[in-house]
Amino acid sequence: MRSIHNFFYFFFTFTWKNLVNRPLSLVLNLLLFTLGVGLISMLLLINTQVTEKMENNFAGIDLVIGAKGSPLQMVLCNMYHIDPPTGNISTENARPFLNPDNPLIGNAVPLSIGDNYKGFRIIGSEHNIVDLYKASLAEGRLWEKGTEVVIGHRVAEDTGLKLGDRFKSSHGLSADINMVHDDAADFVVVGVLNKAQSVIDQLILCSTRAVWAVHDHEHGAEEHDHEGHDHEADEHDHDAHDHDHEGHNHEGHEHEAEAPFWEEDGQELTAILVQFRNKKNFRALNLGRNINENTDLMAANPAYEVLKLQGNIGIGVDMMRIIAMIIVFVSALSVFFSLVNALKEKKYELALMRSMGASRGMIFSLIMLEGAFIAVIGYLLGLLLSHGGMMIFADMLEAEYRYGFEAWRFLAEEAWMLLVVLLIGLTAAIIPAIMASVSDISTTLSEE
Amino acid sequence: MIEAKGLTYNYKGNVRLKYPDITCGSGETCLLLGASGSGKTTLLHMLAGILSPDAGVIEFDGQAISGFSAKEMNAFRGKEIGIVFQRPHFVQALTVLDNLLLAQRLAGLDTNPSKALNLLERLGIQQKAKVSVKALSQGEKQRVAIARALINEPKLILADEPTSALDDKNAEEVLLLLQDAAQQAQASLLIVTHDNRLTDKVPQQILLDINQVKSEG
Repeated sequence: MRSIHNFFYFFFTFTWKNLVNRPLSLVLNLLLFTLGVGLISMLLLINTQVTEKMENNFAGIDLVIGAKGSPLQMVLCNMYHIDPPTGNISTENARPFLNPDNPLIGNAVPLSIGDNYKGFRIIGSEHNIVDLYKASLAEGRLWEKGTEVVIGHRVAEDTGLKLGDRFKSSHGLSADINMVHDDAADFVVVGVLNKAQSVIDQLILCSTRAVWAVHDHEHGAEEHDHEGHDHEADEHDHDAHDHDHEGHNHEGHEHEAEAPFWEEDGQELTAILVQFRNKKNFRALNLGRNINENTDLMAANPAYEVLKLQGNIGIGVDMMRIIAMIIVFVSALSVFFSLVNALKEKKYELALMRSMGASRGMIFSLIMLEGAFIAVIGYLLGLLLSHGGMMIFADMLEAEYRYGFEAWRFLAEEAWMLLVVLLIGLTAAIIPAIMASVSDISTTLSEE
Repeated sequence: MIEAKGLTYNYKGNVRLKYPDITCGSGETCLLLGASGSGKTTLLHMLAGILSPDAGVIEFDGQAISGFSAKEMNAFRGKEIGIVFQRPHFVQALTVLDNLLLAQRLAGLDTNPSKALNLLERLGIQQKAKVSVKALSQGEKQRVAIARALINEPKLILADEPTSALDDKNAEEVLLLLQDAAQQAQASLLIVTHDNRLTDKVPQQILLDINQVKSEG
């Protein structure tokens, strides 16, 4: 056993010493392999995680209805919460789609977007948004009164908010201390959601009326100046009605008695996420087109928009993949040429080793091992590069979009890549290995 | 003891080298003398099993090596034959000690660093053990090459022009080292040379006569 261990130890240390004896060539080969593997691995990591994020947030939504503009922007804003809204829609226009008696729509989730707390979006919606994302309460209860909020798992983690905590929202969708609604009532945390692995983790949920109340108050307060700030939810006219929940005490009377929020005139929503009653119903399938052609609203099919987006991203990803493959191919060529060059320098050494008892097979194996060594070390460095790069990239994405990317998650494809890379290293080494093993040692040793 | 009888070798297909019979006993030193082109190195390669003769027999302690398979020949050469080449070459990536241990490993033996260090001490270069072979002087290289040839305690030591690149003092030292090692290990020492400085010191000499090289066709 010890002898076998010694044998392999010899093989590996001998090969390693031979490689480091030609440092420039080693560095060049490793650099090429590292770049090629690193790029491919990083593309795999990003592609896998972006696709997962897209799919996790699909939530069976068949249609997104909102203000006219870019359908992709509407989908990104209302399903992925990474873009500003296209505008607002009036409750009058939204009403037919929010009415539970609509024969085509099984579930309609209203969204009112416009404020944030430390960069986390505050969404005015109904309780069915929690079911839509299959989320559940970790503690507390769902929102009932005007200023009550339920926070997602990520919000709780990052902001430290807990049950009973109060906070003021900021205007707009990005954290800005100068945009705090100082005069509006505090939001109160009444519930915290479990981790749902979807966008709901990073949302602060409250009633639609709570969002309206904040902006009613804002519009009523002359001293609160947001001039020059592009508030996506600002365009609606709050003066047209007198709807003030501030200071209104809901306790002691039944909510059921209150009219549904969508029956109020003159208010606005950002969008409605729609699930059809029957996904195969012909009229339901045509609903989007009908909305686009016959109303002031816009409907977008999220599956179509996401597919289109993935297609556009895919062109870039494909180009990067081709470049990475070219780098890997060039690295294989580089290994081949450096091994052939090394043979010229080492031919006497190899003949000497044969004269000392080394078999042709051993010489062949040693050269093959050099190719394998470069490939495996390049592979490991490539993974380090991609996952290290992903760590930086993930931080940037999180800072920008609050989506968490896992830098040190390893994919099955990366394990397969080791086999491919090893095969490339061995293929690059096979011709030099054959050349070394079949060389005539007597002729070589007689040359000097 | 090594014996070679009736050896011939066809060189490049049209020159036939015919060699005299050779016998060199255990612990003895024999000189193989001949001018350039007399086929000295070819003979040494045949005796080492690197080349196969076209005719004739090479026996080692009464055992013919011509019947060995390639694998057996590799193992035999590694363990039983030590070769000192005209210009000492080494694996450049390794230290002096590692080059000696490599010879043990390639012979299929377990590495024995203390044995290698003792040998280097005997040759007066123990302080160079951890030094890269690239940093050695010519004289030191020749000593390390001798140490490498002796590390596996071979029964046959073949030396190809071991003194041709050395000055008189170093040439004499190298000869004494080789003879001493051969006597201690009871090995046959065959020195292939055209260096006349050695002829006075080694009585047992075999002359490779250029006239024995016959051209055919």
